[in-house]
Amino acid sequence: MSTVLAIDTSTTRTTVALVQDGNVLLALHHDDPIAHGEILPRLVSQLLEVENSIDEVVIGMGPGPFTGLRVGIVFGQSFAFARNIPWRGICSLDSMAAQVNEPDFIIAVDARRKEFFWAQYIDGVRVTEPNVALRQVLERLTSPIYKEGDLYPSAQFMPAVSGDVREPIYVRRPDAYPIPDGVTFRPMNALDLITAVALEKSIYNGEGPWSIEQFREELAGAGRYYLVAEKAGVVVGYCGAMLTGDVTDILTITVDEKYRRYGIGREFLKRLIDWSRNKKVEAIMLEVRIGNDAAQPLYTSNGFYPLNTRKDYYGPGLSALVMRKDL
Amino acid sequence: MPTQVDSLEAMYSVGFELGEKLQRGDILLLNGTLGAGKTSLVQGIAKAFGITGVTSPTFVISRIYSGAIPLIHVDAYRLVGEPWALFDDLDLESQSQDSITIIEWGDGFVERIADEYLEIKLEFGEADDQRILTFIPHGQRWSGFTS
Amino acid sequence: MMSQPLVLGIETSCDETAVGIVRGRNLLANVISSSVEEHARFGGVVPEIASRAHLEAMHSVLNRALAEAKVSLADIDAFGVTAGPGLIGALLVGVSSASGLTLALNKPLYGVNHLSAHLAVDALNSEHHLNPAIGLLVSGGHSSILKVSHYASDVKVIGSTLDDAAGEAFDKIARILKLDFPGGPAIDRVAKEGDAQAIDFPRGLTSGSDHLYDFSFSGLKTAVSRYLQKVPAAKVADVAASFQEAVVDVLISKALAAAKSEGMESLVIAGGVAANSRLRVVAAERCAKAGIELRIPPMELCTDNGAMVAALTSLAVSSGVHASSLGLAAESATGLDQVIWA
Repeated sequence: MSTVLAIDTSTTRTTVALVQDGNVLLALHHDDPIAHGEILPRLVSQLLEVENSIDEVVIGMGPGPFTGLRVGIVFGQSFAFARNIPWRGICSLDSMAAQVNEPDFIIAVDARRKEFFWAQYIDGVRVTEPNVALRQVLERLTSPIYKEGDLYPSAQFMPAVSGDVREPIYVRRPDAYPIPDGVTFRPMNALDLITAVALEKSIYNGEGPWSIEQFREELAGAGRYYLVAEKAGVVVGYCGAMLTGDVTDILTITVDEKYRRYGIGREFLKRLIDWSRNKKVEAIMLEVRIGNDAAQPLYTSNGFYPLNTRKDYYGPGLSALVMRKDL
Repeated sequence: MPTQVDSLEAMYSVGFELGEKLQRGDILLLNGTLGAGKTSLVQGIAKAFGITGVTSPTFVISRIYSGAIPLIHVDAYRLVGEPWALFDDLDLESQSQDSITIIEWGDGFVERIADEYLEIKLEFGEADDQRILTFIPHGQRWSGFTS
Repeated sequence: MMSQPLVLGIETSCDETAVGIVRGRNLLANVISSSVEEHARFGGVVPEIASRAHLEAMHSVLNRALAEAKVSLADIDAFGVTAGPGLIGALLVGVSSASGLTLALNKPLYGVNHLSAHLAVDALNSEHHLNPAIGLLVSGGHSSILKVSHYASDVKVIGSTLDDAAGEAFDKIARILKLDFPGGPAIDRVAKEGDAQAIDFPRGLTSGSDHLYDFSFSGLKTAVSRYLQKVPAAKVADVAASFQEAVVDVLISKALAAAKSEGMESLVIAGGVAANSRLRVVAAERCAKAGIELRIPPMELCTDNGAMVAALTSLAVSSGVHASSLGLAAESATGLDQVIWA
């Protein structure tokens, strides 16, 4: 017999539930935008009176406003710590999605300033990383949107949601970060090719998509724009885009694994967007591998939205999500 | 028209009068150097909501007072030059719609949470106790609010 | 009612994530993880969120404290957590963690006042009798004079700052003088090379009976910056020393005046500024002269820490104060009307 305690405080609703072998023993909730800290212990205490023996804690990790979100995450982790039981994090939007029975829809939660935290679900599976977007951008998508208020995260659905999110999903506006420290950006030249190919090999496990010949051709091609990022004289990443008629296509944004989380990818994207604006195109396109967790949030937070998918684009079972940003 | 304030008491009065005109959701940006009187102005404003005991929040960064309308008193002094993530972490938006939010040293920060706010510049006047206040409206809510 | 409760205290009201463990009035462990270190640790990488430092640090600090005290969570009789005043996001991390721990373990939780905890850390000095005293609480966020009848239940404010706290004044003057952060220790260091009598800065609110025990450091702050404008070549050490002297002078004078007027024989000094070396010297000298017992914590217990929270909670438990009700509310701005949350 396995009893799960589920907790979510990512919206104005504090929701908790006790689920034992798939059966909901008790589910409680309370709505209040800022009192999660006081409400959560009281609700959980009621659950423990029904069943005190807990085997696992499942916690909604956001996205959502920090103040409330922190309460559930810290409480849940500390409860698990004290009982010496495991805890598992899930994306809070997923427990809302679990209540919807449609083939293609979007879940959106208030992020204020007319923005929403959102994700898209196709055939019950989340196909985008949670991100933030303006209402207008979301309304341009054809999928129906289910907003906070139409429904809420619901703890009783959480144990059945898959995933093991270990860190809070704090989605930020793209300009929250300054330019990476000690990194310079400049156009790519022929001498950088060897490093670029080596980087590709190391990132894609020996099988870089391009050979040195292909790189050389690319660099020489018309309507191309390639940049490298250098830190202490070493090339640690590069990016490239190409102009095709009314749109630009981002071909690659590649950063050495050791230099991720420095904001280099973000800065590359910003510069490619600026270059595209200068070319006066109507949109920027790119493809990203479905499941590429690191890249998607960066794109969606910069105004890219999913257009369609290309099955097996990267190889058998590796499909691409085509994304677009209108300029 | 800048407002001339000749004493600490006068600063409290200006604050109180301003406080009486404020509504829930209002955001104020206070700019001025050390000693220009920002916290004194806030003390005057707070009085209009029955809030006393307001002191400088520089060290703690943000204090939330309960009153007729809650007051969120922020001092972004320690965050100047730091990554914006630190300011965002305050999650002011969670409560600012239902409160009065005042941000000292808020230049560059206030725009992250609001498009409409009242900016107040505080400068030293000629005499020791004298200050000059300039009101700069940002957004529809504050149009016409120049003194 | 336990006389030697084993208590764990959590403090997250501002920059630190701290846990302390005491048994009765004996300190068993005191672990602090500073935000400042966390930011330095990330080097060029921006942390996703400032209070994630609190989140991630919490369990590591808990483990280190338990190991240091050689006890397990199950051994703890009662838990205490700072519920206010402080930065609301930071407070919520401590309160939520403590709530999760105590519900899981079915142990009592005491929400405590950060300011009272600073005073109560004095209880960890076994040589001190905890008789009623005047308290001088001086930190980055607070400067108050208090009448302390019992650390855990009876503390009255009789004077406080009207504008800047003493610790804040140190930070701001340090910035003006282009010294390190945090400003208190930086000024303390530099002042040693300077002449405290070089410049006579105003002591603030020294006349009139309206604000007998109140402080005002805003004028002093302005006086220092005006002085530097007029005398740009002034020796930084002299300015630092003279500023420090002005602050220390007014703090101790008012505290002792309050002791005399209230008929108290003891003065307890607490808070981050209590670590200031000049303040400790002047306090010792003037208390000895006035025949007043001085109780001041060791330097490492003056700044924010978990031991003070554990100490206050331990006193509360021993004196029969009830634990806080379930679902205690963190409060950003609160005076000393609540010492232990009901």
